[in-house]
Amino acid sequence: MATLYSKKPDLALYAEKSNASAVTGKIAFQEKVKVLATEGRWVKVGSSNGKSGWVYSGNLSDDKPPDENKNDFNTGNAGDVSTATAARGIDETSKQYASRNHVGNAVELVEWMESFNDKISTTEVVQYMKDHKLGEYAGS
Amino acid sequence: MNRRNFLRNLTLGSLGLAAADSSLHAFDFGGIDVGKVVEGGTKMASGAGGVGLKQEMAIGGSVATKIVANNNGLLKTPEAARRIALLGKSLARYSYRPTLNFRFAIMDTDIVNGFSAPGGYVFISRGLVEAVKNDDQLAGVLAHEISHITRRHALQIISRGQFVSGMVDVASGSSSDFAQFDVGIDKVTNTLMEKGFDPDIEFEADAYGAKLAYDTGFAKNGLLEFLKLLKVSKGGDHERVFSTHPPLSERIEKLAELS
Repeated sequence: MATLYSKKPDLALYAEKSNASAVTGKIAFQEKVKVLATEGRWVKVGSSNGKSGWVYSGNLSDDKPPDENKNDFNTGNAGDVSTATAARGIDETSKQYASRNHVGNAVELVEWMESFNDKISTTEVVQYMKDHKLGEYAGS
Repeated sequence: MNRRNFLRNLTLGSLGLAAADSSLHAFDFGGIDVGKVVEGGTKMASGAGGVGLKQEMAIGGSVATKIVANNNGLLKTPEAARRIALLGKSLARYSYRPTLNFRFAIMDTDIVNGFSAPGGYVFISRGLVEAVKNDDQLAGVLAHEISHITRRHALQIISRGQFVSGMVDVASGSSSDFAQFDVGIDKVTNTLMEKGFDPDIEFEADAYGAKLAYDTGFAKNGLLEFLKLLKVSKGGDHERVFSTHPPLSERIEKLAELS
């Protein structure tokens, strides 16, 4: 029986193939689950402690994500709430590099890029996915 | 990454083996010789020698400034920038690093190319945006660049070098040996914008990207179709079309084996 791993922390398992259905449990980052069934891009999985439910396949990986991916948590792309990361600007080390290497004028543009992207909330991304029938929102 | 399993999953998904009664076989390979696809391929490690997120952002931000400076700056047209950002962020949610904060932008140049920098910076050119025929093709390109970041391909250039500890120390603020840091950044930017990654790394990004695009709900062959289009329309213009990537014909051949 095939096994897969959660790419995300607190990944919800659903009673049906929809993220609008009841949550039957959650699995942790890197948690290994067994594949019980598949339908379209949804996978029914079972965990070692008896939890089971449907997960959108894009949230699972067939190889175990490395520990260092934990560093990414809470950097703004995780859940269905508004993006938490405030635009803090480019790292000071990067600014110094740009200045030393005569590309300082690009700092402003990279900071614009960061700011423009960070102003787009996760709610807007989810609405875009619903409008374009993408991912787990294809049926919404 | 078990590359065989990845290719197996991609192919199965592509074949639409979706019925629940096939569940026990859902992740078995469906009869195509995966071995010939991966034969000679090199498994790329996902780690990057203990480079933490702060250090990755310092390295990535530096690389990003160089990319922007060398490619005529960024296109700030809100509608175009928003389209790329929303499509890219949709893909990023199902990437191998779904909680990294990705940022997307369009380089204001008519070449056809894309670059990425550690920490989640993804750049595609205006020429590429104008060349794609639909969102499936655009998603294929963005997913390729996202996959370079999630598999830490650029960071592995640094982690293989002798300057990694010096770079990490500078990026952490515990050293002022900037020469060491700058040598490392130049090594990365030279690879990204001049020499290109090793072909196996590019093919790996193509394959992971195809799977990511499919997982997000786009056509699995968006990148393949775009490369075919470019080969017909601009096949002889290697200077201006994905000049830092392997030849279009080789990428088309490898991607076609996945479909």
